[in-house]
Amino acid sequence: MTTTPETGALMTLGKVTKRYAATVALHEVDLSFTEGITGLLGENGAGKSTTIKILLGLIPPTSGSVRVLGEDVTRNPLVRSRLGYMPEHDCLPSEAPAAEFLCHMAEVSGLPAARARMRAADTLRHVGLFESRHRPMGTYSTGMKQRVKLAQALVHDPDIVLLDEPAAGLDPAGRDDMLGLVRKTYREFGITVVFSSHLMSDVERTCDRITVLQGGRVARSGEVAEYTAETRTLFVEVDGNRERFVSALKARGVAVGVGKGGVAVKGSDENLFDLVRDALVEAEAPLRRMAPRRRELAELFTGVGEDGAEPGQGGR
Amino acid sequence: MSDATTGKAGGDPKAGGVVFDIGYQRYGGPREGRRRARLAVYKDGFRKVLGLGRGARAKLLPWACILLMVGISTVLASMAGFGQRTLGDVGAEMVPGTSHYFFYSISITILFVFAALMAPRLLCPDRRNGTLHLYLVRPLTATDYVQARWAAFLTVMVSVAWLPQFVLLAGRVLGHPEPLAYLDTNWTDIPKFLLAGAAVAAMVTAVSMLASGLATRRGYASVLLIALFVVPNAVTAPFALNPQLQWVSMFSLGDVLGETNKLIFNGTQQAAEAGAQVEPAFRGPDDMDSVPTQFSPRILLAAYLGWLMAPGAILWMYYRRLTP
Repeated sequence: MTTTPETGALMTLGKVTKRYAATVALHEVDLSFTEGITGLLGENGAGKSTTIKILLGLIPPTSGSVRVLGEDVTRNPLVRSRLGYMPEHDCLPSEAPAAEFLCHMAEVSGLPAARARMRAADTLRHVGLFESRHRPMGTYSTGMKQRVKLAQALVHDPDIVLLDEPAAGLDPAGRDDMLGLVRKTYREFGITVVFSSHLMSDVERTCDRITVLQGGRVARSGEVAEYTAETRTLFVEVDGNRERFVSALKARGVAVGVGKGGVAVKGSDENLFDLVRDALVEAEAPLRRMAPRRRELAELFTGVGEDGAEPGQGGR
Repeated sequence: MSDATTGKAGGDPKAGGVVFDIGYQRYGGPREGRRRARLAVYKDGFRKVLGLGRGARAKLLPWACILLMVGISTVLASMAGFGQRTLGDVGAEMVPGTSHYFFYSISITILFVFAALMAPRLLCPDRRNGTLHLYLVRPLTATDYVQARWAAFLTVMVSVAWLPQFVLLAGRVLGHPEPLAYLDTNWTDIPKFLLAGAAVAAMVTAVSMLASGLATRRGYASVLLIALFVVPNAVTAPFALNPQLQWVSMFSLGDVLGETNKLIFNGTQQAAEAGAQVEPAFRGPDDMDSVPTQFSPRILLAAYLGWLMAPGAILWMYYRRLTP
């Protein structure tokens, strides 16, 4: 795998700006993607798709530099033989069987015909479609189609795969399976993943790092663990007497936030747990759950701070 | 990442097998880049047009058209052979439509119908299904994609144009009492029908690929192509009767194809002579007006190149702008 020597980055955007007429899709974006699973988060119009297109070399940036696996991808389309892409929208020909389609896509990626056939069968086995590989894809369920889309992105064994909303349109079980496959893609196959999504929970469960785009700019970028690290807030759920419990806490000088699901108790006092215990006893409130509250990725967009004004949305 | 599972079959402990799951294997083989990618798109296009590897429904239309043309040429070859055996060379020429020139006059329409039905298979579904996006994110440019599809369809069209001509040639040669003598006298027919077939196929390919590239539904592309063949032909037909306005015919696809065919077969004289011998009911679409070609070869060549290159350039520019 070719990386930028100084940073070890597989893909870098240096002060990239992309304009469409009067619209600025990306504004001086500096980004680098290293090995692992990186989530690209953003609302519609944030610039996720433009970033992916620029990384794939499909559109040139208006200004700035793009390096993918050490190459200028806009000038050298051969770099794309080392990249995989799974689009969000439908892209599968309904009449073709998955095995034949994958074999064709492997050849289009530059693999010789015999190797392409072997890779197609192998990849379909890894995504759990080996038994159905000779059926026309028009007969597949949504979950199976998503798996074929992932398989076509992996069939030529790329170094990096870019996934655009891979779990879109799936039921909870299908979503779990797909996210499991995404994790497997890096952890077992060793393929670096860039995973675009607007669903916080998916990114939180799957990615090692995140980059948040807002209005064509990088709002935040870093390790997921940093964003979901424990805060100095306890999340407490009780089965009754919640108002009395809150009053008892306030009487002890503890800052309290009340949400739909429970009570956020804030403070750095070493005696915080004792104070909560005493308040529970005084209020005769049966304790259901108590845990340090983690910050949710959703807060990156909503701007909710560490104090967790809406603890009911995310206690753990 | 690897594990092994042992299992024993039947009652024989020695018959046990070991199944290894060797896990995911990275690919370390050759990557042949754009050349392989273009070849793959070309092969896929060829198979799509002819319905190879698909069910009977996909094969029905292309093979029906091909069999129709081969069937017609077989009948004509038999008639020519019968005429030669019974009446000699003069008799063979008296049988209507048995020359290579006249066969193209008849088969241009069938070739065009074939193109109208089959060319959309190459470009429309890829755009409609979004599969085009998967091509463009591989080591393949939009130009590579269009060129490969274009080449695939041209290959099919040339094959379909030539095949019945070879059948006709075989019939005429084998029907002649002295086959070698016939070949010695008429060998120039072979390069002429090869060139004419390639010229017709190239122009029909250019026009039909453009229509297929612009329409997302195969049906729309087919209707557009049929209209392109029929409507200008009908509109320009009255002008063809006036020698001063015959240039208008250059806007008619059918006329340009017909005139090109005439030119390649040195047809001004031959067509007029052969047309005079043929009863109107047997004349092909090109001979309905029985007007020998009045165009200079330069004008015809310019018109032909215009019809060939303009659709190709428009298609190329259109696809270059497409991004997923």
